Amino acid sequence: MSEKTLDQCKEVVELVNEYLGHALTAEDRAAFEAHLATCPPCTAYLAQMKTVLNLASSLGNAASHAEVEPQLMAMFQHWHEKKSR
Amino acid sequence: MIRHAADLETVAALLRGEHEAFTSLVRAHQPAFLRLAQTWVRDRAAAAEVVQQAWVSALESLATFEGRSSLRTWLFGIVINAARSHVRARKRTIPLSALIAEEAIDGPSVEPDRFFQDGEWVGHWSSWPTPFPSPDNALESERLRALLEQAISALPPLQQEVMVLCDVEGLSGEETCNILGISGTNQRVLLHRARAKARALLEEKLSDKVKT
Ligand SMILES: [Zn+2]
Repeated sequence: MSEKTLDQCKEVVELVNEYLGHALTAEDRAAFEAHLATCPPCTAYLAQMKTVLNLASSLGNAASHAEVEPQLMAMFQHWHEKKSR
Repeated sequence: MIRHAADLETVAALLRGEHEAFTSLVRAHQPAFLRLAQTWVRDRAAAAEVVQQAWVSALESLATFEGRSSLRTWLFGIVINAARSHVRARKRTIPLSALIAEEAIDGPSVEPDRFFQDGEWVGHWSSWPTPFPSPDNALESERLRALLEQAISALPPLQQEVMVLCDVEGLSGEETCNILGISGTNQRVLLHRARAKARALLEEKLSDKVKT
């Protein structure tokens, strides 16, 4: 059986998400990594995508430390009183 | 089977009217609520109203929470419903199926003209991606985060929702499908398209900065 190769960068970029999500078959993964080993621009593309994902998850980690708006607290109070009646 | 015992405790505390439980819930979820509301309701003040409405709905239906999903997933569903109803009430809505048809279509991740069209190097990069600056200091990472926020908010609504739920909030594909009422295939395509566009927009914004 001949080894699978990924020649065109155009095809490689379409596999980046599956690669990052560990969703490639072992064969595809090997071909993907073999391409990357010899291709600086695809390596740069993968790094860009990793940066995007790291930044995205850091956006989500920004929990609010602000005071909860009095309006919202009042609403909660009102809801509880109405419910307990 | 109870999978989300901690969440059920939170719900019980809320039902007892404990202010601290509500305060920490709001603090934990308010930023995500606003982000999700803004995928549909661009105006910040209107989005804040939608969020407020979502909290009201969440409390009203709190007693029905059974811990089958996490409380967070359940709350996100409520926010997205509130945002979609807000849009629907203003008759600016497009059915979900039409949005899927529009947004969940496969296409190239990178503009085809970035690759050689023919010759020996066909399919290889003709215009290489420039590496992003590494977010190694606080100022740089703050700037990059702001640019990514802009890039995400420029995406069409469904792509935006999928990217916010999966990549910003870290939900699984399955949870995302349940919240949005879309299939796994559509979720994957939407996420693929969203990430590709967000990357391209970020690249564009960063190269603009270099030029000026
Ligand atoms: Zn390549």
